[in-house]
Amino acid sequence: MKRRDFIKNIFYTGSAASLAGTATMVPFSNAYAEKRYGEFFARTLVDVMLLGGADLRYMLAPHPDEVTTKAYADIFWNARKSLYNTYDNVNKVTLRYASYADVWNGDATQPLLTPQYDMAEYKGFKFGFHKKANWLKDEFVKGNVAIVCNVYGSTNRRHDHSQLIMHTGDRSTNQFVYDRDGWGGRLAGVLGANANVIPVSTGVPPFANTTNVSNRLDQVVHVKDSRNFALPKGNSNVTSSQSILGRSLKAYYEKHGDEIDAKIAKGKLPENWPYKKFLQHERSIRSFGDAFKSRLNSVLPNPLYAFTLLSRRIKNKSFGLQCRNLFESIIGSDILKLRAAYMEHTSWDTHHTEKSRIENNLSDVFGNVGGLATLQKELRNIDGANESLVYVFTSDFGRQIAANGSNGTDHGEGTYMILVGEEVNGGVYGEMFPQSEITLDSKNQTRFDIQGADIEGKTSFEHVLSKACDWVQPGAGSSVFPVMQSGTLPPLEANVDLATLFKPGYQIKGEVKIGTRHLSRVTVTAANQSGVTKSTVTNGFEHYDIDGVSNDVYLVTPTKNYFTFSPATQLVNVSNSDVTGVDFSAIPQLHISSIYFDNPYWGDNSKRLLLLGGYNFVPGETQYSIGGAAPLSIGSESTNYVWLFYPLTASGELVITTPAETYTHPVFFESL
Amino acid sequence: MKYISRVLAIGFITLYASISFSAGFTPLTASQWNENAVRKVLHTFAYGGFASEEQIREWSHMPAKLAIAEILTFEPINSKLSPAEDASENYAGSLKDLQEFWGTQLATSPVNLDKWRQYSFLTTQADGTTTNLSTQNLKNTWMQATNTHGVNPFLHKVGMYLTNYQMSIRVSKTRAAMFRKFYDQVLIDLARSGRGEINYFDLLANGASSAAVSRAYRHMYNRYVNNRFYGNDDFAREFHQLFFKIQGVTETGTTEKPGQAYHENITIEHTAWLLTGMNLTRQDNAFGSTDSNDWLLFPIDFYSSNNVYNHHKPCLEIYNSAEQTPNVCGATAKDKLFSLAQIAGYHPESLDNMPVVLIDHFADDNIDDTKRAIIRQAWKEHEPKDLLSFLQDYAVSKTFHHHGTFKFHNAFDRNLIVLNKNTLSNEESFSRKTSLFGQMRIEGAEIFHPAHDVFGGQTGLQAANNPNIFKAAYSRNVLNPNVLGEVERSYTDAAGNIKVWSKNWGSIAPYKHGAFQVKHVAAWLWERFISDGEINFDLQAKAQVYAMLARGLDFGYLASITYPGIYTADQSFSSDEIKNTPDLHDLYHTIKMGVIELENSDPVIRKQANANMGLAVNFITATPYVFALEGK
Repeated sequence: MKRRDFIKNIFYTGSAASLAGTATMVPFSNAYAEKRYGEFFARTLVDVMLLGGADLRYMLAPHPDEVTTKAYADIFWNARKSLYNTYDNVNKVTLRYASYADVWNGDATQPLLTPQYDMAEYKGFKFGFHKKANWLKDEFVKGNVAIVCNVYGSTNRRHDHSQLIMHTGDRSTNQFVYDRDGWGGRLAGVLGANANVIPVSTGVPPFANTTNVSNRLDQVVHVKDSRNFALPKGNSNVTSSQSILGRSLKAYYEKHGDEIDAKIAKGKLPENWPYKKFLQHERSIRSFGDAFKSRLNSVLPNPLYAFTLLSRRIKNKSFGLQCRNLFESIIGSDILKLRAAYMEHTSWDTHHTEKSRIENNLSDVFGNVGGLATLQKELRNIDGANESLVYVFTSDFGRQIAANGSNGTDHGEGTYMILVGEEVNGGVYGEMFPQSEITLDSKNQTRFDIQGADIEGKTSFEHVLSKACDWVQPGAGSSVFPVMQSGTLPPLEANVDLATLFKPGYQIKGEVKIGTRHLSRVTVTAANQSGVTKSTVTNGFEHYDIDGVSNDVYLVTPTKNYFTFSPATQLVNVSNSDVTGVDFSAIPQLHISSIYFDNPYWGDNSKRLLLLGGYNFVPGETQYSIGGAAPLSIGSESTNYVWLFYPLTASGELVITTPAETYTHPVFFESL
Repeated sequence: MKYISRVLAIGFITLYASISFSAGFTPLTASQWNENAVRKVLHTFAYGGFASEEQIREWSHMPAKLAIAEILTFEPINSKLSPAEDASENYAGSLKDLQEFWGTQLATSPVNLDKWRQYSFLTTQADGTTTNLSTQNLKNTWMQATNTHGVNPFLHKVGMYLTNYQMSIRVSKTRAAMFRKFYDQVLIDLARSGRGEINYFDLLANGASSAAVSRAYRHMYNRYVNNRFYGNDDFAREFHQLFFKIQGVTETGTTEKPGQAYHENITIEHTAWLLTGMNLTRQDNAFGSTDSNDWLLFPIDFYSSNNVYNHHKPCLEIYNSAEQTPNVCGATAKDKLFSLAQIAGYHPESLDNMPVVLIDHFADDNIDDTKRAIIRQAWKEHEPKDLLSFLQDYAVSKTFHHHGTFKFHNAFDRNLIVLNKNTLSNEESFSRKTSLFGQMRIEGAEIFHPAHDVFGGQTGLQAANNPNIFKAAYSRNVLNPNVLGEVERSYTDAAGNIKVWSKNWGSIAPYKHGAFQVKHVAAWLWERFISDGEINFDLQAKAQVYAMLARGLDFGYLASITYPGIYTADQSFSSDEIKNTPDLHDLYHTIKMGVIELENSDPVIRKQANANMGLAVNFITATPYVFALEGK
């Protein structure tokens, strides 16, 4: 659905509700008109945790024709072929691809053995995306996906500890201590009081915990179900049990919470008093619940049908719900103070029958009918949302590089860390299929031959995650990951430069409108004194962005034929952050680009047709004259043309007067 | 008492540090072992239990060691903890027996005529011909077992811990029959360990060698043939990590395979080889099911020709970097697992971690270094390594009954404690129209479907940190108060007779000075559900509870109709306001001194009195204090 249709749909639905006497609907694009940038739709990080240790080596595969990885592909195939075994449920037999080429091209003799990969290319290097990850591949082609290779977080292979390491961003974290801060919580702390972490998952992960030992959830708003958020207050019957309990509990918590706070402040109760959490939950849900519920009721009374469809087709229903929760959290992002979010997808621990299980997962998360694709598509209707998001995909660990004996893979260490977003500088960072894995050792074996061998971790995860934090707010990364401030940085793969992980510079954003609507095809240019220019072209639906702008002072100028702009230019100072609200109003300029005569008009010697083509006529409000004489009649007119009928003898200046201006054609009529 | 406890709370860290503990758990003194201590044990270990008030008092007067030996047992029946009311106790030894009793139409069954199918082992689908084993009914049976007078709730709490946390698997991976066998074997082994016939590690070994675990982890397909291993190392890792809490961080390793590499490449790898020859036999239409997923049989026949062929027969080197020689032997995988379990149980990491994880799960989310050292020492010195006596010792120790101890309830514990303290009879339990299953699932607690799969179910800390669980619990009490507050229902018993159950709080509430006085009943009700010695039953809570018990209204509304124009129905009042504002104080005092008509001869008035009790129960069990329990 196009954005305009979507808004119209909302508006019509809202009108019906208004007629019914219910609350006035507000098309939600208008609801955010004043606050599209700045406080919210500020840069937001979404941590998508793939629980269980994802074998992303299954998603990304060497291309059989890529020269640089040909030898690798042969060994890869030999060691992993059993992963592609496919069970024929009808004939109750296991089908096997005969060769790696068949994995790519399919086996014509076996319909179930379909092609598994699509080719992608980066700077001439060919590799494959699994077909189930087709949304991710499309985003990669657009330049929105960074694949950072050989990343490691945990160096043990234990799920619980490794997940905790990934949540906390701290390899030294004690495996039994869950009551500690996570890197998402630390990021929120750096961003300040107007930033919350919003887990949209079933539980609240340690990722979200802040450094506040007495209240780890002080910057967390848990949106497990965006449609079921507020606390109940009872019903309209004041003496019903529901109302009695609703009133009594609300009253109790309100005052009791204050009294407990006072006791803790006076030291009469310890900071880690166990019941404090529940008073905090009540407060948090009360403070956000009603406002968020009201926002949703006014903007989107029912969940989008797209998410209903998603919930039917997606295998992991919980992930589908999380995508809806995130969408609706973005609608209420100013209320929730959304700056970081957390989602999770389960079942990546593929010790056996990996093919069927991982392919469902890839489709759910990375497929073009999966959760994130649906989310992204619907977010196009919210101006500025998609470009303000970066998804970071994390997992417990990677997996061993050879298949085990159960058509699966066992726990490993290194993996690929993937980032997706319009501001991500897409590409492959690091060696995707390390040659070291096929180098023979002193025993004449490759890593693929060694029992338990995994992807060697070469880049410590802090490098990647801190860069993501820096994108959210410059300088945040080293606060969230203090190790990045230390004299000895954690390992980074040779020849990998993550400084370019995000598109350089900042953005200048604004709107170019004619009246209340956006004007398309306006070139907006930002130029500094050194003559460096960056520009963009508006699309007529939304604001413009000029990307990759460094710190400096810029003159921003919009141009479009036959339009002038107010103001004509703006001086913008870019200093360590995006600059928003650089808006212009377009003033149409009348212009004649063509004149056609039909002389006389259809043989009628009393008149001639003068067909004027051009720009910015104002139908119904324009006066025309030739030599001071009005036309005999106006046949038809639009913003781009007008039919004028004049006597055959008309002559003189051709003057056109609109409400805004008077245009005199430079050439006398007789000469035309 | 409350002042002293507050002073202690202020300096609790200092106080704790000043107490010197001998090795092992220090038992409570006679004065410390009181009714509140007994209630805490019941809440912590037995989902509240079903002991009568008199029994609780009796236990509190006994020496703690003698009392705990009566309270916590692993026998299927514990007539003091859970007095029997019907024939259910005769079937309490296993879920299988309970299903055969409740899931059939025996006239002696306490199950309603229309509900027996909810416990049936085998169910027939809508088409009339397809039958399969019902995992839902197995879950229903467990839920009912923990709420039945005559069945030992402590035994099932520990059974739940072992099958849903320490040896965690999901019933969906094994199907009902196999999982039930797994669970019932745990009950049998717990009883045997309680009698000293086996130790805790034998129990874990039995679980590790079960068909259910083999199927859940899929090492049923592991093979070692022609000097080569085919399979996965999933359970090979988790046997050590999850069953015995060994992470491998203390492996000294060898020169060739130092530290962690030894654990990964020798210990885990060799354990994977050990877990071969554990395939299961399939029999068509087994158990009467037409669903082929139900057709795998148990136990594993380790001596089948297939399993003998596929098993790695020689001894294996595991945890033996010092000598680097095979140290785990046995003719079958089961034999080797039992051999390995005795080594693993005494592994330094297991000795350190196992007891801490146990106490963390059952009783304390605030284990600091001091307590950790005590717990570890107690386990190390505890011989034989028997779970029951270890938990008994802990349950009457100063380590447990201490200000610094607190336990966040997971959704299982909280819901089941509240349910049990609210259920006054088996008639009430079995006639209930809806179970708590749905509510608990909303709160992330689904029996036999642990939230984190093999890593176990929801923990107390996870529940505490989840605002949505709080909201779900709070909302349930407000929006569906009948779940806890229902006072009357009709039902059809197993013999087909229509009966009416009525709530009768008057049968157990304190009756003093010739009446059910609001102030006494309120205090008793709070202590029954919260068990904090009324420390947190402050003026605000009392005002609400008194108003509900006395008038069936909330305090704010009562104030608004008592003093119209001065107060509004949704007004909230601080403790100071209640205490120092004359009209509020008068109102408070009036309702406090009121009487609840639980013994009124008029059934309508009596019913309303019970309904008022239900309101109070809903209020109390939505306060913060139901979500956690302090040690003292």
